[in-house]
Amino acid sequence: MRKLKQALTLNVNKEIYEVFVEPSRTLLEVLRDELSLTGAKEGCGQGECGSCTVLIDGRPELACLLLAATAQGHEIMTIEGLADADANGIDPLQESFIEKGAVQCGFCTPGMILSAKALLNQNPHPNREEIKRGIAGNLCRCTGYQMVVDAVESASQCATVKKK
Amino acid sequence: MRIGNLNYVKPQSLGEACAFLAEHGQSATVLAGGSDVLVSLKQKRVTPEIIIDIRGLDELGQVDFADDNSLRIGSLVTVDRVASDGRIQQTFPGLAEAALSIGAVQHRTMGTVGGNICLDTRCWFFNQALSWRKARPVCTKLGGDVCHVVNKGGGVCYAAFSADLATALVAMDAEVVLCSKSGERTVPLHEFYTGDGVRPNIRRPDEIIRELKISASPDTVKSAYVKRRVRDAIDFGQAGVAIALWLDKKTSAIKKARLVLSCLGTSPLRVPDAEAMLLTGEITEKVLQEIQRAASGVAKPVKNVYGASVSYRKKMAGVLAVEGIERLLNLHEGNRTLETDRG
Repeated sequence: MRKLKQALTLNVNKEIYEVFVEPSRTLLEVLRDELSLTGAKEGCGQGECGSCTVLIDGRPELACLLLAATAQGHEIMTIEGLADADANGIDPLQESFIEKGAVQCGFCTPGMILSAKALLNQNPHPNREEIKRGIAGNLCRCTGYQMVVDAVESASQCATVKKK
Repeated sequence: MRIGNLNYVKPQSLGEACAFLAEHGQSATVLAGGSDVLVSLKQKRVTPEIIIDIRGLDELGQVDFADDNSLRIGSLVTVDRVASDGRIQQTFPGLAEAALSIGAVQHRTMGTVGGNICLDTRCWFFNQALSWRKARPVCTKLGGDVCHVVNKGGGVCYAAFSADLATALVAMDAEVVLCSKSGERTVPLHEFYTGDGVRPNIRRPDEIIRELKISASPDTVKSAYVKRRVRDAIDFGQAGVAIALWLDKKTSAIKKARLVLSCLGTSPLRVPDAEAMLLTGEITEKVLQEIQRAASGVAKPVKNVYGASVSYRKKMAGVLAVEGIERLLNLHEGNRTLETDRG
C-alpha cells in the first residue's frame, strides 16, 4: 500500500491546524481548499502576479510557490488574519484601500494589502517611490495603481498604524 | 497546475541533507527558496521522486564578514538579505544592486543566493508547461535533439543564463564551495559555469552549495550592477552587466577589473578586452567607446528572451557597460576626462 498523504501542522492567523495532504500540495492550495481561506488567489500559479501573497513570519512570500510542508513551523498570515487583529476590527490599510478607491474587482487586493502591510512594518513612512517598489510584485489590472499608492500613503499617515 | 506525487524530506542539518542526496541524488530535487524550483515542478520540466527541503538550515544562512573585508555568504542567505545588508551595501554595492534587481519583493524574501547560483538557463520554449511543450518534439535541453528557437540549433542548447547575483559574484572573483557526503570542493565561480544551455553548471546531483567566498584585498573595491528589462520588477533581464574594479589605495590606479555580462549567453560572459582597457590609465571617451564595442562584441544573445530584439540586447551590453563604469568612476559631465562632448 502506498501512503500518498502526510499530516502537516500549520500556524495560520494564530490558529493551529492539522491537515492531511499530499506533500506536493502548495500552501495556496491548502489555504484555499483545506482551510477555506480563499483570500489568497491564484492569478498565475507561477510567481508572476503576486495575488497569492501571504506573510510568512511577517515577510511577503508567494503561497503558490511554497509547498505547504515548507510552511510548517512558521507564522502564516493571510488577509483574513489582518482584519481581526486590531481592536477596531479592520486594519487602517484595509480602511484606506476602501476610502481611496483602491479596490475595484478585488482580486489583487488581499495580496496587495499584505505586501503593503509588510512594507509599512519595515518602513512606516515610505515615500511614493518606496511604496511603488514595495508593491511592485503585485499586479492590478483595474486601478492603474494610483489609488493603491494613495491608499498606502494615507494609511502610513494614520497615527494608529500598529506593527503586526 | 498541480504537482504530481512525490516524497518530501526535511533534513535537520547539512550533513543529513548530503546523506539524503548521496542516496537519492539522481531522483531528487533540492528545494531552498523555491521561486524557481516550484515553477519547474508545476510545468513538469523536472519530475523528481523526492524533494529535499533545505530551507531554514541555519548553518547555511550566515553572512560572515571578516575584519579584512573578506566575505562568506551561506547559500541559504536570502536575496533580500544581500540587498538590504548595510555592510554588503557599503563594501560590495554591486552585489546589493544585483540582488535588488531580482524579481520583486516576494521573490527576494524567498529566493536564496544558492538558488540564484544554480538558476537554470531560460528560453521561451523550455519555460512552458508540459501540456504546451507537447505540441512540438522534445527540445535539446530536455534530452531531444532539436532546438525550436534557433533553427540550426540541433544538438546545441542556447538557453539564456540570467542569474543577476551569480553574475555579480563572478565579477567579484568569488569562489563557490560545494559539499557532499564525500567531502567539499572549492571552485572559482567563473569555472562553475559550463556555457552549455543543457547543463549550465558543474554541480553534481549529490552536491549542495554551502557558501560563496570573496577574498580580502588590500585595494579599494568598487562594484556595480546594471540591468535592462522591460519592467522595473518581476521580469528577468534582457541584458545585464556586472563590474568590479580594484583600485590602488594610494594612487587610485585601477589594478584589476572585471566586466561580466548576464542574460546575453548561456553563461556569465567576461569581457577580457574591456577589462584590459580599464587598466590602461585614463578612462577617456575613446576608451569608453572601445569598452562599449568590446562588451557588445562578446554578447551573444539569441531570440529566446521576451521583449527585445537580439540586436537591441547586443547594443545594450555596451551601453550598460559604459553606464556602469561612468557611475563607478564618477565620469559625469564635469568630472569627465574628455576633450570633446560625447553628444
